Parts: sequence; structure tokens; C-alpha cells
Amino acid sequence: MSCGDDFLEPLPESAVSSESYFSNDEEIESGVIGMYDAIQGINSNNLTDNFSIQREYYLTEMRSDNTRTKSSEGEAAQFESYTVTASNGIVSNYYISFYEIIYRANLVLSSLDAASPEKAASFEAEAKFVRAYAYFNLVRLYGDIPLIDRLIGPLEREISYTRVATSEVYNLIVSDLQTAVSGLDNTYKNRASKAAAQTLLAKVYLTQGTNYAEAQTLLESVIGSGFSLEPNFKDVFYTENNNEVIFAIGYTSDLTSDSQNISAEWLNSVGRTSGVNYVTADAREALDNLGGSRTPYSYRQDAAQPTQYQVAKYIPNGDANLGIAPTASNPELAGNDWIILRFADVLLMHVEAILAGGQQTSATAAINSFQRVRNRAGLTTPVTSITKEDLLAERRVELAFENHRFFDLVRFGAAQQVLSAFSDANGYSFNATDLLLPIPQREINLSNGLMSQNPGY
Amino acid sequence: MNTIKQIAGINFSKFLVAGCMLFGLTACDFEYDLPEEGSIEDLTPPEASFTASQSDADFLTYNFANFSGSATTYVWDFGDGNTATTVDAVNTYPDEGTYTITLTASDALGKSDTFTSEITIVEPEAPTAITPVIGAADFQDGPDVCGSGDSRDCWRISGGSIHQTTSDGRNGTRGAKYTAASSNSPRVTYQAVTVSPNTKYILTAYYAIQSDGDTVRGTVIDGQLSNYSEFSSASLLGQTVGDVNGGKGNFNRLVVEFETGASGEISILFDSGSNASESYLDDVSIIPAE
Repeated sequence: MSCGDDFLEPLPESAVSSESYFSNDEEIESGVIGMYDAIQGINSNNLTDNFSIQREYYLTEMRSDNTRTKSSEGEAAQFESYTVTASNGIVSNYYISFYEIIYRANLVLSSLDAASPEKAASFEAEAKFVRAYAYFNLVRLYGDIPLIDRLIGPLEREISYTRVATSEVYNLIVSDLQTAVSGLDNTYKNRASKAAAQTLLAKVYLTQGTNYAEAQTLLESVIGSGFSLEPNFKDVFYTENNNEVIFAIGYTSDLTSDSQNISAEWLNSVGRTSGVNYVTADAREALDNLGGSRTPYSYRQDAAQPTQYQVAKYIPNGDANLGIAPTASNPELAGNDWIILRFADVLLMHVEAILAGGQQTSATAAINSFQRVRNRAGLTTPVTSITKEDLLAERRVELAFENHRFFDLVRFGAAQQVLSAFSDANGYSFNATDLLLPIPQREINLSNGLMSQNPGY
Repeated sequence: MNTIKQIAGINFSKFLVAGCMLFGLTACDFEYDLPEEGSIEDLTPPEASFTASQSDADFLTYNFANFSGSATTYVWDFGDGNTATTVDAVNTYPDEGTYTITLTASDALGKSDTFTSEITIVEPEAPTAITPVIGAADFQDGPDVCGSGDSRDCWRISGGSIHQTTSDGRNGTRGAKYTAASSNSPRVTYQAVTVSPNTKYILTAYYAIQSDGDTVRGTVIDGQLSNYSEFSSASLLGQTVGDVNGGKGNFNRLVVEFETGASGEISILFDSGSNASESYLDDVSIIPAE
């Protein structure tokens, strides 16, 4: 099979690729689960395995002012110092992982003819949600990227290696998410849902800086869909599938095939690294000033090395001081679900949509959403107006270490200013070209001249 | 030993002189070589490129992101007399105006490229809320009113019967009139309006009633109706009932404070209760609050 015409380069040969590979609902369903499996990533330290979102914090949090490696060593430290090279293995691993997700979504979409009429629309909606999710991350991280919207064969090098303009990628993302919004319901939290598609589409509109009114309407629909903030901030991260979660990737403890080592790597010398995603002084200051009751569940002192600070969200091996129980007998086989979209994000995006690119708002709807997030953190002094700067700062402390910060800085148009200052203060070497990752050198080599590199690499 | 030393010394100095001459000649000859000889062309000459973005905090400050390729040194000319040699750059301009920014990117082989871009700086206006123009707000007929001359044509909705007009309006001009409940079907006064989203507004109108218990009602609807039948299930932004009986010709103010949502497409609707007597409406306006 893998030697047939439909074998897809450069995607892994482990997955069989063929038109209409799935022949009935049950098989398509397994293909749908396979998409989430690809997002989940492989719990491994072998760089040839697709880590997928399990290493996403390197490309997002560690590339922002929120976190860094503990000991500034190796390839991992390229992110914090803004010296990422095109041969960085983590950059390449994420790229391959996310095209694998896209491949699996395209595989489901190519089999829709085999689906029963009742299920075809929801399979399509689910696959398009997943494809849009993957492209949205890729386009924000790498800029112009190859746009593959169907199964392709080995000889279709042109489509595999031709970078298309971000606007074209966004066109597919928007149309996929529109299909997802109309074809899904709110049954699942570990799979695509209508609310997840609405939230993601709103985020896409905010990122494009267009359709603020539509973004607001989508977010108001999610706000009216029965989600709520967890009364205690801690429970957001330690009670699975709580009412605040809109879309999370599920993991199961102690199973190599279904667990994660995301947060084990954030501990001191647990797992492969000596410690990554350690909290910067800059982020601690922000949390100390604005975090309210969120702060103790956002970062903590490293007991083994008291000058260092760790992320306190998703701790796999428990923390008696914080009243957090271990989630797995081995922290490297953690079962903590990874939240991609949650209700607090929706409320803060609602404020952003009402700001509509402006500097300030005192609209009642915006104040209400903003106040809800702050009230939960114990910051109950009424807010009367919200500036863009207030909102960015609030997002930072509410969503710290959840892989939002880098994208928020870029979306708010603050990345160059904030990261230049942060880089200067820490002796790093940030340039504006660091706002895009390099296209992995491996892809450029394979492309045989079709692919160009991003500026600055 | 001495001889050997001498010989060696002589030999050494001879070699030294020869060596100097040799090197000297080579170095001099090199200058007269054609440039291509012994070197290869600069296959990756610099390509200058940048983008400019306005700072949120100060409209006169711009951040410049350098996207040049194959270059090692940069010279920025911001067009206001300021220059910089950093990779990325920030410049604060003295005033509004049009400035031409030039970036010269050079490599170590002496090749360079320039990229020029113009920015026009205008102080951003504070966003102002739309003050809508309401057609026939004073219910006066006239040659150009509502395209037909009949002020009521601004206020019609399918499925609802339009108010009558009367000379018993506010300040003795024409106004709208709602008949008493017994004599006709309910009359409605409707108009679709576009205002700014997420903004506080005040709708003001004046009404007169003649019997205790009679009312005139003003409603602001989120969205616009295509038929009066949609009114009962419409989403409302605000509603006020006027019930002060001042008698015919004595108008009281009816105020509906409301705040728009995601859409600025709203509509206003006036009607009367099951009134015992005729009631009146006049001089409708919508202005942003504050």
C-alpha cells in the first residue's frame, strides 16, 4: 500500500495513505480519533517521534517573556535567547507533527463518500475543525506555508513545498471553521465542538483584525452556551473536563501510549531536561502585581533550587503545599489534560472584540466579561474602563504558561516593542524577524529549491 | 662558527630582502588584477526590506521591523533627520506629516541595497459614535421628505398600520397621532436606524395623552424587522412607557436609554396602549450618551 501512487511525501510512511482508505462509519470514526491522536503527540524523548503539542511551549511560552530554560543549555535555550536556527529539532518536530494532523484530517475528508448520510456532515465538520486548528498554529508560527487541503501523492512536490501567502491559508481556516460551526454540537470537550469552533473562529478574526462584530457575536453565542468559570482557579487545571473547559486534549495516566510528559519536563531534572519552561522574573512580577488569587496556582518556588521558579499549572506529581494530588505514579506518564480553549479566554476575547482594534472601551458588555474574570481572581474592585494594555496584561496573568502569551503579543501588535525591551534587559538577541520561526532546514533541503527561508535565518 | 654565522646572516638578509620584494610585488600586482580574478561574484547580495508599525502608546512613534536578507550592517534614515544603525529601529517623529524612510542594507563585500517606504502620520481621531439621522423625526411633510413628501413613509412597517398625522403636534407643528383603542387596529411607528456597536445612546421623544391610564410606548429593538409580527419575539435593547397625562397639546419627554451590542443595526418602534383617547408623539432623536 505504502508504495502505491498515493503515498504522501514528506509525511510519515507509518500512516497508510490512499483515497477512501476508510470504507464505513466505524472506520472513519477511527480515523477521526486518529486526528486527535496526532494532536496529542507521542510521549517520548526521541526527536524522530512526533511530540506535537507536548513540546509546543518551547515555540510559544519560551519564545515570549514568560518562561525560559533553567540552565540555558542546548537547542532548547535557542528559543529564550532568540537564536533559533533552521536546524533546530524542536522547530522541525512541531512542523512535521502539525502536517501529520493535517494529513489525518485530509484522510477523513477524502473518505466522506463512504460515510452514512447521517454522519457525513459531522465527520466533515470535525475534520475541518482539526485541520483549521493545525493550520492556524502553523501559519502564526511559520508565516507563509504549504497549503495542503487534500490527500496528495508523492509526485506532487509543488504543493508539498510551495509556500502560499498567509491570507490564502487564512481563507481555508475561516471556511473550515464556518463548516465546523454549522456541523457540530457541544457533546464533547476532548473532541471538536460547536463552541470550540466558534471560539477558534473568533480568535482567527481577532488575529486578522477583521470582522470584530462577527467575532463578538460568535463569542456571545459561546457565553450563552452554558459554560462557566470554575469558582477556584486551581480547579481549572486539576479537575478534568470542568465546566470552564471548551476544548482540551485528553491524556491518560501511566499509559505510555496515551500519557504526556509536558509538565514533567517543567520539573527540576525530572525527565530528559534539567528543567524547561521555568518562570522568568518578568512573568513573576506581572503575576505578583495583577494575578490576585491566581498567582499561587500559576508559579511556585523550585524546592530543589530556591532561586528558580516553576509553573504551577498541570503539576504531574502533586504539591502538598498547594493541595494538589499526583496525577500519575510516574510524572513522565502524566494524565493531565492539556487545555486548548477555556471559558476565561472566551470572556477576554469578548472584551477584545468589543475593543475592535481601538485603545479603550467602557461598553457594559466588555466591562461585565472583564469583571467576571477578575472577580474569580478575587480582584473585585469595579472596573469602569478597559484599555488595550489592561487587556493584554490581564490575558497574561489569567492564561500564563498556557501557550497564549506569544500569540497575544503578536495579535495585539505589541510583540516587537515588548520583546525588544525584554531581550535587552536579559542580554538576549531579539530581532523583529524572530517573530516567525524558521522553516525547518530539512524541508528546504527536501524541496530542492522550491522553498525559501524566512528572513533573518 | 663565525663564518657560518656570517654566511647565514648574509643569506638571511638576502632572503629577507627578496622576500619583501616578492610579497611587495604580489601585493602590488593584486591591485591591478581585474576584480573577478581569483574571486567569485557575490551571489547573495543584500536585499533591503522593512515594515513600519505605529505604536499604540504614541501615534508619533513607529517601530520598524527589518526583513532584509544577506546583509550585516544597516543604516536607517527616518526622513526627519534622525538616523540609526541598529537592526530593528524605533523612531519618534516631531509632528504629523509624510516621511520617507530609507533602509540601506550592506554586506561585508561592500554590496548594498536600499529600500524606501513612505509613511503618513495623522493623529488618530478618537472614535466617535454615529449620531443617526432619523427620517421625518418631526413628522413634517414636505417635498423631499422620505422620498415621497409623506412623512409617514419613513415610519412604515409591513404588517402594521401606520399612525395618523395631526396638526396637534408639539409646539403647534405636525405630529403623529394614535387613535383610541376602540376605533381602529393598533397603530405603530417604526424606523430602522444604524448606530455604532457597543455604544450607549439616548432615545428621546415627546408624547401627549389625554386620559389617565393611557400610555405611549417607545421601544429600541436589537436588529431590524421585516414584518410587524416579528416584534413580539424581538430582542429589545430598551423600552419606556410614558403615562403622564398632561392633556392634549402638553407634551412630556419620553427617554429610552440603551446600549448597542455587536451590531449597530437597530430599530425604534412607538405605539400606544389600549387608550381611551387619542394620543400624540413628536420630535424623535437618538444621540450618543456622554
